[in-house]
Amino acid sequence: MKVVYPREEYCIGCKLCEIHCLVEHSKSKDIIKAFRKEFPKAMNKNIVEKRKDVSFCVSCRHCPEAPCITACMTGAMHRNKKGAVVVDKDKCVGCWMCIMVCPFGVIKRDGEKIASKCDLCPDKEIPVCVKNCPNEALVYEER
Amino acid sequence: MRKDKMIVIIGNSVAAIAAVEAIREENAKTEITLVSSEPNHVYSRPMIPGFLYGKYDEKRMQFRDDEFYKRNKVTALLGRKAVKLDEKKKEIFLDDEKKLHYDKLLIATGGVPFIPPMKGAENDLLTFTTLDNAKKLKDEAKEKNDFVVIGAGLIGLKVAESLAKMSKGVKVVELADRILGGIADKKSSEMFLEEFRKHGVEINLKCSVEEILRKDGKITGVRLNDGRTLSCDSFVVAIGVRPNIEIVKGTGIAFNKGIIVNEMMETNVQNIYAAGDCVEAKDIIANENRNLPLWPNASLQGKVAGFNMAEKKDIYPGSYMMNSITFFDLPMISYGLVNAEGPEFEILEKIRKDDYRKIIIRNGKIVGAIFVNNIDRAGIIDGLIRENADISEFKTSLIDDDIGFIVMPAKTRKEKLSSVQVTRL
Repeated sequence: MKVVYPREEYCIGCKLCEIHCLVEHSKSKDIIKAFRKEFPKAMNKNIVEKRKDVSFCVSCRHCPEAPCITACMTGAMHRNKKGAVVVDKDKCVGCWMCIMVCPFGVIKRDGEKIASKCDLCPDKEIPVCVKNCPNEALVYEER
Repeated sequence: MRKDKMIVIIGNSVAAIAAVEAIREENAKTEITLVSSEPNHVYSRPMIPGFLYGKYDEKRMQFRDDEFYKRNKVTALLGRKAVKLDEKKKEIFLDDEKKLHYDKLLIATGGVPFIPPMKGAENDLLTFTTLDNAKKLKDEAKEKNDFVVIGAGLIGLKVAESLAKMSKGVKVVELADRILGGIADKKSSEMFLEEFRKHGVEINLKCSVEEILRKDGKITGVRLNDGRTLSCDSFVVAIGVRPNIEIVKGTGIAFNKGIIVNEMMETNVQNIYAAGDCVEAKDIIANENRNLPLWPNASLQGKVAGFNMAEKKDIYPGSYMMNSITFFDLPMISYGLVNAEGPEFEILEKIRKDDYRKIIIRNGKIVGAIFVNNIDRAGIIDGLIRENADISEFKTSLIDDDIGFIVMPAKTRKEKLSSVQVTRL
């Protein structure tokens, strides 16, 4: 299935992917409101790693046999119909078993003390991080 | 031979459920009968501390939906205990004297609490591993206000935390010289000790309960081995669990502390599999079979057993000791040999006031790690342990705040970031 992969040779570390991700996962989906007026503030689900001249964006790989689903003790972490690994917010209790076993380190703790991760933007054809990267440093493809 | 084989599963927690799902992924027809001594629908045992203090109700603890058994065509015999196994005739006897034939059997009976000998112990002692235990304790807490908990491991401290959140008096008694000895090192256990004391929980180290004191049958306190007496009106034993292997005793199935399985999760008796807290399976750090009663391990073992029972060959890759735990507002994730000491180990540490990280290395490989408070991205360490990766080149960066793929050599990093999946669990 298609997921998001980084191409670090094209990444300039601008973090637009993080900004667009946060806005897409906010209530208003409006950049000013999302950053200035929504509390708790939405979180970006992806992570830009940067040291000196090297940077790239990491996000969930939606592993075919996802360790986070295997480890989830509430049934919150599951695969949706599109094949994306997503969190059921009503079931998650914030035990962080998923964080313990995610080898990509891409599950975060959000303000409500539940797991927060990439959902591949269910309302969009292409995830917003990929769509809005000015350099095509993120690709959405099947490997 | 009958066309549709009969699979019987003893147990109803995560190993059993993962097995059902794996079997059904491969085979829609095989008959599955599941036997559980507990009457409840699938529920998450790690959630019973939250149930105790009222954070979760029973419904919330169901980690699979109401239709789970129906959808997976499982005949669930709940509240029925499997009491005897005849592996030659391939029969299981239940406590209502019914018997079940199986072609393949999965033993996923979990663990049972360990209760040390104590003078004055009667059958009113409370333990804390099942929903039923939690209900009894919840009832008890309606009228009792002063609790002694024995055991300052995971279970004991979870009970203590819940009782403290219910504004009960809690005194913990622990034999070791610190709390959480199995999963925390000295520094991290001190951080949690502080957290418990801050929340009014009294923790008594280096002592044990010799006698339970009673007046007119009612518990009034405990006498410790150091001569002190602690007053209480209720008492919980939460020292730990041991594998529940009653059903295999007297059969040809081999066991040590737990049931011995091979990498397909099969016991020494053909067609009998075992998974979860009742087994000893491959520990990739100790490099031997060990009992590692942890949810993720049970889940993967159940799945591997399920696939093999459905005749899709699958191999359990092994696992190791790991825990993710939060007490009050302080989270910790720990991996492997957290208390390793000696010349063969290299230890990297970063200590801040509320934040602690430690990485333990042997021969260029990570064999243990602790993340307290800031646990973000900890799983990268799990991946490196499971891959048995040589981290010599970038080891010092593993305690940096920006731990990530950025600290790895470009080749390693690119390989990982272009793969679909790097480790199985």
